[in-house]
Amino acid sequence: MHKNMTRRELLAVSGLSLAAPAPRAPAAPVSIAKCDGYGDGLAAVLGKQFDQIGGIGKLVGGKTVAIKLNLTGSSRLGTYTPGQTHWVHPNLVGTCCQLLARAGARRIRLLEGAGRGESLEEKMLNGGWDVAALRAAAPMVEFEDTNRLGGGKRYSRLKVARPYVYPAFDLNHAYEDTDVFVSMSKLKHHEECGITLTIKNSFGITPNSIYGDDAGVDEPNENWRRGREAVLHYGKRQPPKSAPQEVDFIAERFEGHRVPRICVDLIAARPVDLAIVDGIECSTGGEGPWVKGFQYAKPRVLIVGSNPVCTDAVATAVMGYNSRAKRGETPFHRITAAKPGELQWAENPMLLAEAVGIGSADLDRIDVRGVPLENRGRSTLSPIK
Amino acid sequence: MGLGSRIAAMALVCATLDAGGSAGWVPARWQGGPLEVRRRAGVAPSEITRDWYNSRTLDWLENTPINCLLVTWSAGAEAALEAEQRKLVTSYARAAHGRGIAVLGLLYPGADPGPAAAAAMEAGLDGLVLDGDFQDAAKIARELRKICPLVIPLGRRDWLRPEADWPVWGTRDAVTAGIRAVSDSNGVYATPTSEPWIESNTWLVRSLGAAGGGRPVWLGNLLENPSADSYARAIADAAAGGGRWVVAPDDALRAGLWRGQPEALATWRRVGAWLNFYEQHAEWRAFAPVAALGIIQDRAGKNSAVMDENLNQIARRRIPYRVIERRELTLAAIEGLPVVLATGLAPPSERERGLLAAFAGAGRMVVYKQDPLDPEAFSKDLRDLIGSANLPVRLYDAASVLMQTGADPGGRRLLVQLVNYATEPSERILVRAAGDYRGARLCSPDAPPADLKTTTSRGTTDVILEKLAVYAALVFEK
Repeated sequence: MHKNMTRRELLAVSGLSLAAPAPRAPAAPVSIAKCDGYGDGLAAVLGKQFDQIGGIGKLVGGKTVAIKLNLTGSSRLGTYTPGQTHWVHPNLVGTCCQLLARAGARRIRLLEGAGRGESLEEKMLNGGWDVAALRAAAPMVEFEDTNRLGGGKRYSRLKVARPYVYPAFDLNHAYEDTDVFVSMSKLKHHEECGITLTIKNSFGITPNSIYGDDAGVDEPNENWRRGREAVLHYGKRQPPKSAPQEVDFIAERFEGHRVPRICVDLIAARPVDLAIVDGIECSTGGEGPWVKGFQYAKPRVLIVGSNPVCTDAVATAVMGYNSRAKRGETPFHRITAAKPGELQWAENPMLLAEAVGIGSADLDRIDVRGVPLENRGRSTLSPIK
Repeated sequence: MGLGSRIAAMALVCATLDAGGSAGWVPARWQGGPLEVRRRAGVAPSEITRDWYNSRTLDWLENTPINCLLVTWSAGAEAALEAEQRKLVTSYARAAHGRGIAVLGLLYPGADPGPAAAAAMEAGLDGLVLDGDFQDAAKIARELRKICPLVIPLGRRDWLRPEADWPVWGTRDAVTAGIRAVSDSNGVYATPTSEPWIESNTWLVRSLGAAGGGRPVWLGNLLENPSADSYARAIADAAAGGGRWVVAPDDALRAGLWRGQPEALATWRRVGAWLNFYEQHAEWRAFAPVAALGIIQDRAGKNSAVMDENLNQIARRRIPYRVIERRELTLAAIEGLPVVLATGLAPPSERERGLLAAFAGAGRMVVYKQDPLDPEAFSKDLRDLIGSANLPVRLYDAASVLMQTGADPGGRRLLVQLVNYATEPSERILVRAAGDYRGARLCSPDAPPADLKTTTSRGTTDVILEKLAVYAALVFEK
């Protein structure tokens, strides 16, 4: 971190640089690796990938590192554990913690929104995770449920320099009180948006206490009960007056328009320093088992990059899709049958992010390391043989 | 001796038999004979049903604790058929009595109660069972009791009112224990946060047990396409609440047993082993519930249907609770509970109001709402209100598992009974008990007892159960 600057100031400055006309979006290396499973060989694979993108020692040495996990929902597909389908796998989380600690990370915080009435550790236990093993994976591992105020005294306001929907967000303190932000997501589809990768993972950093449908009119509701459909998906209501309001109240309310834009706003507000996409075991047909047609898949692939847009562009290609596809083109549309008269398209969040200078979605500009990227344009999830 | 005297004498015998009987009865549906063939024309294999009352079917009861058979007695058929059935059953009952097995006659709708009861007494049956949808069951029971004091209901739940004075609180208003599929994607999940829809009767057994003042509770439901595990689950689901499922072999199992098919014999042996397990641990029925919530119930109250669903949903939220019968509500009955749910009092009397007012405060809460609430949403709110950290026992990674908790009178042993309602085993379940326990023992009908590794931390004791197919009991010891 720069001397004499708070984390908040640093984040604001990084946003200000985007206030000018968008510069050419940066491109950064992305590593693809084959990995057969979550067993003993995983640390070697992931460690090599960190090296391939330039190493993580300088990034995390002596620092606090926050990892936003993707642990969406609480149900499971048949006898598969959530980590085999729609959650990131606990062994990948543990291995990542070990490698970060080995690279000098001082403190690691695991972040995700937990359900009502449960802590993040309880959510993990309910998913079959060995929380004690995770806690022991590094000298200091902490857990924070970011659907609430949690361990902070107030919410942190993180600004968006070139906003699509929200000029800033009020978030759990852990997203500000960290030197390094890691996004660990799952390689999978999304019912309404087409794909769920790093950018979409940031949707989950918004606290339900503020962006949930039963948030207070004036203040957050720490005893929230409901999800984020009315506020974020459809914009039917605004978050509490205590939080930043939308920049344009009459803009399109369709979720295929809004959700990708909000996700891009979020990665602008809380930039991702390291993106890890878990595709060793995952799923097709939706973001979770509640989506009709959801199925288990095993592409045996891990994707790692320092730029979220570049990483997602490569992951999209690994899934067999065009990372520059326009809205409505595969995969950027609803993947289950829409009701009559319902819109089906979704924006490509990578192009939205590229337009505001966060990162390039152009594979010709991205240095892909490790396993060569092949089979572009295929429409199946597991093109890597 | 005239007929009246003989009936009176038999009624006395019947009453005497029950004095030490029905609480220890392990019942099974054992229908057969020509009347049953007629009743179930075209459904069951007729030759097996016709010949069922044969000594070989009594042989199958050896090595099981089944000691009470529910036999076909009367269905209001023509006189000759009814007489033929009675003759056959009279002989069979004598043989059963010779083996120490009680015999209860099943009365189906259409039966003429008076003559059927008189004939049952003359045949030496130990009592009668009303099986099915009788109009005005209470009135029929009163008539029957003039002749045979022991009449057991296996009909609708609403027959079970304290004033009816049934010796056993039985009902066939129960579900097949398992998981109801609500979607087509491998089964059971509908929304990001949904849990499997568990069909269980344990809440009902506990409710009836409280309402019946400790009288035996029987569930007389039939299983739909049962597997070997279905029988085990039905037995466990009732036993975990302190009741008994009336063992009801379906036609396929009966036919398999009759023909000596190995698979059927194995299933039947397993049924016997599971019944034996619960009889060997009969003391568990006397364990007091370890609870974070007291629920006051009034089964005769105006909101009884909602109250039933509250009990069901709260059990599904895995909130350990104690059922308190309204007529037994005292400060002592709710002592030690952090939260009491009083929606069963609609409205509360002055005495109840005063008592609950005296209870509330100092961190203790009374939840009351005169108008019924949506039980599913309400149960989630209750769990939030209590807080998971305040639950005496918590389960993790066990979406298809429900639990019952109890403690021995000395408070040294904590019993956690787990029933898995899914067809697939549940693996690596973490059971977290509040308190420091020095050990935990796993008891199961399918394996010898085994000690489990415990981990204590911050006032809790954790145990990992590696695999749960249908049922396991964990006994934590201080």
